[in-house]
Amino acid sequence: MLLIGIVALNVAVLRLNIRLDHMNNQSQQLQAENAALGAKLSAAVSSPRIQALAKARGFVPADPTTIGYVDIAPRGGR
Amino acid sequence: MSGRLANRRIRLLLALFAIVFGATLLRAIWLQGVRAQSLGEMAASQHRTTVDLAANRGTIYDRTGVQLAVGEQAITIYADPLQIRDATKVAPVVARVLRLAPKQVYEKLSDRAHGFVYVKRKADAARAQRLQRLHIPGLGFYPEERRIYPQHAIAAQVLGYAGVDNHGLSGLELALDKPLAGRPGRETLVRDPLGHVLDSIVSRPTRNGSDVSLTIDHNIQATADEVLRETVQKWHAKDGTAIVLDPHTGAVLAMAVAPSYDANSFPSVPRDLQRNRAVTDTYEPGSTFKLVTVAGALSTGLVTPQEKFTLPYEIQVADRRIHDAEPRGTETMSVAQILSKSSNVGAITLAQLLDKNRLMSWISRFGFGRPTGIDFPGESQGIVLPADKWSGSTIGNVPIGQGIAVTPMQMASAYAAIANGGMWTRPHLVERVGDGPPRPVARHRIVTRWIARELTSMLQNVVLDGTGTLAQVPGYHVAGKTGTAAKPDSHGGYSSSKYVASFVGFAPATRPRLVVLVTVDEPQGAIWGGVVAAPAFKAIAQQTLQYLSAPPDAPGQVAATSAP
Repeated sequence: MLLIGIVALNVAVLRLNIRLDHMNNQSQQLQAENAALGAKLSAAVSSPRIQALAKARGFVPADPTTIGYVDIAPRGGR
Repeated sequence: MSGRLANRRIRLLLALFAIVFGATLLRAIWLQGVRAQSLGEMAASQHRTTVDLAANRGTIYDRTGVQLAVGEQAITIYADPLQIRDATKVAPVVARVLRLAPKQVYEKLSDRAHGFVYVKRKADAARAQRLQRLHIPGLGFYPEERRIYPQHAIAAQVLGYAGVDNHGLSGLELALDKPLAGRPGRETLVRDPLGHVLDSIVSRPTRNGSDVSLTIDHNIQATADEVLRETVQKWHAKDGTAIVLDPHTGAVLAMAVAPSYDANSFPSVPRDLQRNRAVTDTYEPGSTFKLVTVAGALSTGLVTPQEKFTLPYEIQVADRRIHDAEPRGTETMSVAQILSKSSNVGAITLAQLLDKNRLMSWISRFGFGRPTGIDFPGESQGIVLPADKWSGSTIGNVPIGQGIAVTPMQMASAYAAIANGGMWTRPHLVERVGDGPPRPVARHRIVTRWIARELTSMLQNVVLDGTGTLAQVPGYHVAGKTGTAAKPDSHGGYSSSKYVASFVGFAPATRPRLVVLVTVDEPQGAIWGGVVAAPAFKAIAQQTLQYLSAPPDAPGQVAATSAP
């Protein structure tokens, strides 16, 4: 019985190791995909790309003289 | 009779058992005692494999969290030519999938002198997997990380490049190679006869490279890159540099060099283009250097900003006659006007009052003649002739920015100190490495707050009604200085056709948010800093101030449209 128990335990450990190996591979794959998606996102938010797309759609940079700024700093009083 | 026969048979059987047992024992001793080590090694080699686990290279981010350099999974394909059955059939298939030249692939696959050849390092993962599914005997595959630069040409010279072995070869990739590279791990895999992994024993854990955050803002960098590229194209110039600095922290917000290139194609780019000229190259600054002369004269108390000097058009210094840029009669100019009108004669007059030793100490105080200490490899210290090696005419050259060579970074830092109330701050590109705290920044005072304020006021006049009117930014007070310097020629003199045009300044002048320096090397058609470089300053400053939501300090002010 003891022998059967030891064998069963070893088989269980081996199965776990095989699963662990699969999961490690999966984890690496996901990390790689994540990095690739991150790079795609980074390229997508690239300023020159967005500016070129905006120009192609007829957008023009905002006229700096028409931009208003609101001063939200508290003035005197309580 | 039959009992004796039985005994004999039993003894025979016993002897047989003894022989078999003895033989088994001897075999066991042979296998477990004598051959134990070699057999153990053979067994281990059949079901145990030790592999190096490559560490992922850290990502480089800009200050807004956008990735500038990142690792992407690729697959390296190798071959054992001895196991390739028919290279003439395999080569075209491999070449088609990997988009390689068939002849080149055939040469590798038919090279039976070697048992290992690379077919393609760091191939596109999708293509490699397509090839892998064809199960061609003799081909092997393993994953590797490939460095890519998603922003392409943005800050290409600053980032540098990490090569095939994932180690930095230039730029920040080289300077930060140690933290970025990490440390590879090692693992032993135990496999069953079918190749399934039964156990993995990590003998050395992998330490992935640390991520690095830069002070660069990719939006500001893109603006600087674009404006500089257009300026260099417009004036058919050899090259140009632009720097945008935060004067209070010393953070480099942008560092552009034109012409530029796509960082992903680094290996095929000429070395000349790969240099980050803003840090590694020097130029004679010309009139932008007059700031040092005037700062020295004011700080030592020899003159006041409103003190007036009667200045002829020309001045004799030893064996040289030096004159102002534009012909004029003898004029009376204040110290402030000397700077705003960029008078060579006036600057030399102030330098003569100061004397060469004191001028040298001010040059050193502003950081010229030694590296700024920016965290970028290969920084030049510039060229400053020691006072004991000056000739009689040197006092007529150096105060107006001739006979001295500085890096664009040194010049931008000097103006940043004035913008920062007289406090020089070491420029830096790296904000933090990994989860560590921001790196400490060295700073020291070079002029008093009062002197910095006076110099700012003079520099404002340069832009309001001096040589730098094309640098005016609507809605903002701008302080700055133009520079136009003839380049030294090979005969020890100065070229009459090759110039460096520059402009360096800061805005808003009353509460500076950024310092911008632009240099344009060998412009054609116009040579003046106020005509060639000042508009580039304006374009970069205007867009960046808008991007930073910097409130205007001169509402209603309209910019000049042409030089005076």
